[in-house]
Amino acid sequence: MYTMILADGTQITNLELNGNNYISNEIIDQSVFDGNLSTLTIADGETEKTYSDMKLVSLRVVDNQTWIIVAPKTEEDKRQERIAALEAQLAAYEAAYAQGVNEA
Amino acid sequence: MNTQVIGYRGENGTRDVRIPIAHLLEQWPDLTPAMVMVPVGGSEDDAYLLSTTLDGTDLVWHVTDSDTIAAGTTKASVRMVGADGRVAMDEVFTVTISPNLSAGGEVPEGTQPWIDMLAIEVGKAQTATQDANDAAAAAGDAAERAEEAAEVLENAPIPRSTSITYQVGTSGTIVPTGAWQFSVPSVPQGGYLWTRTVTTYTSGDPTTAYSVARQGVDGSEAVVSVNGKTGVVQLGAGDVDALPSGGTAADASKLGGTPAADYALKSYVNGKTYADFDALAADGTAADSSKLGGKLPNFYTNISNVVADGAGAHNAIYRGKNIQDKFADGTLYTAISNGTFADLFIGDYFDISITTSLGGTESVRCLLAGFDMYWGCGASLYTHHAVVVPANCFATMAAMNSSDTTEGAYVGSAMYTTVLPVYQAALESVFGDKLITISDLLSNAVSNGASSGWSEYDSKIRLINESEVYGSNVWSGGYDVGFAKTQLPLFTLNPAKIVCGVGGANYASNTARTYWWLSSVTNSACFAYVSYSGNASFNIASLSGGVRPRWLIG
Repeated sequence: MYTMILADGTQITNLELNGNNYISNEIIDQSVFDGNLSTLTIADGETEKTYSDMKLVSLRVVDNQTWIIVAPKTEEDKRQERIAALEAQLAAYEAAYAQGVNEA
Repeated sequence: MNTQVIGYRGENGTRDVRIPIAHLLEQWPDLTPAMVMVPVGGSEDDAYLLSTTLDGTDLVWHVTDSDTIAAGTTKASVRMVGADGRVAMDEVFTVTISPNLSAGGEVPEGTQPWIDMLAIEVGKAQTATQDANDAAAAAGDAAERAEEAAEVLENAPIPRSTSITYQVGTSGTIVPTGAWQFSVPSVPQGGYLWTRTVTTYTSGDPTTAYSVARQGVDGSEAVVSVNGKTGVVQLGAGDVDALPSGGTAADASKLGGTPAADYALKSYVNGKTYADFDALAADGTAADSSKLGGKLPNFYTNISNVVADGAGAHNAIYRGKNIQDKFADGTLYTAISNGTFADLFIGDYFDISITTSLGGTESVRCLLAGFDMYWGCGASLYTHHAVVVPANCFATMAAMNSSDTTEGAYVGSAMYTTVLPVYQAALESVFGDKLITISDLLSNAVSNGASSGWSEYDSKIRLINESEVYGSNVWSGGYDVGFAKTQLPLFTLNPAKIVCGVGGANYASNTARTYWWLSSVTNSACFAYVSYSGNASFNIASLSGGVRPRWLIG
């Protein structure tokens, strides 16, 4: 059985590994993983391994089981995140400018 | 120096004579001094070189017994000699060797008394007399023997004449009694030529001698050995009588005596006649296997089974034979379960009938597509199995998903969750426990338009993937491969089987071809499929396409 330890210390225990799917007999919401995978420790009861910059690939609830797939972010993933962040920042600037014009 | 006494006769190595030669050394410093002497009683031509050494300005003569061998007076001189042949001589001087006694005689014996001497002489005389008598006796014996030998020689007979005659006989040991003739007669085959030699002597009776020779006989039978050795005798066509059309040799003995009257040599095979051989049945089985020497009871089976047992060998041969009978009597499963796959080859087929809520009752032609393709895969799949692929898609088309999404990959598709279970139930009705469950590694997650996860699922029926059709991924990724990692031998050995129709046994025209779904994800909205012409392609998940899964039996 495996245990996941997320970046904020949240632990998800009693995970069974099938292929690359970690399967929990509990229903786990995806929000648990949002922004919480900058570091991820996976322990198998004997050894622990810590990963950086991980992403949630898939989370499915099937027959009251949660099937979780995690993987490292690719360079493309990171580039897309930077682009998204820049777009958000640009949108904020545009909004601020528009408000300033209106007030003027 | 006029006279030099060098000692007594016989002296050797005891005297040295010094001769001053300073004047010679001064005059000829580059020459070597030497001395020569004439032997006593010799001539000047007999002069020889003396043994000397130079000591300062004196030439020292070492007198030897060669020099004193005879007493008397002789001559000697000193000379200077060069390596280039130059010679300078000094005055000759006289040399004297004084006489002396030599002890070269024998010691005389002592004197015996005269009476002893007389006795000795008498004894010698007696011995001499006896020796003479013995010699005389021996001479007398020799004379007698010589007389006897002479007498024998005088009376010995001498050959005077020889007569040689001939006669033909019938025996090699009994002398013929007919007339002897002086010319060599003609001897018939098997007869004997006797030669008689009669010799007459000057005295005594004549002697007779015989010699015999046999005339050879022509051979009348086959030569089986020569000098005890056997071998192959090459016969020409003229050596054997022509066989008449009836098959009987004019002379049966020309055929070795057997067969006596039967030209049908074919009837003699290992001692059995033609009638002993049953015609082979259409399937190659002899009615009585003993007619074939007890071997090869089923030609067809044995000829068919020319490859080694096992999946490897049988995966390498496409045959495409109807094996309905094997499916019907269950021998199909026997050959699979024991791992021999005996008399099963790729493309062999049998037909089944299934009834589903999707297509009603339909006939499905089941092709053997591969053997033990998933051996050792998943949770200990060590059950021998055959992979079955329908010759055509099931009669009813279906979509992968109701919408254009590949969310959840193959396991998340509607094809997997709702369509294939219907066909699985129908196949379970046909095959029962012969329909094998394997733990298959299937894609179950998609990220960024590609399969990103896989897990093992118990599976009895599944869609084929790109690797099983084409031997590799074409539009999909690694998570779409799983245990279905190898091109099915059906498509390797007969690529024509990639193209198919919908329902039934065969498609008859281009309009009957169809595209059929594969389990592989190509992007966020599309799954891979086999196009009409068999090429690798993909389309939106909501499209209705052919359903051509594969399953395992064994």
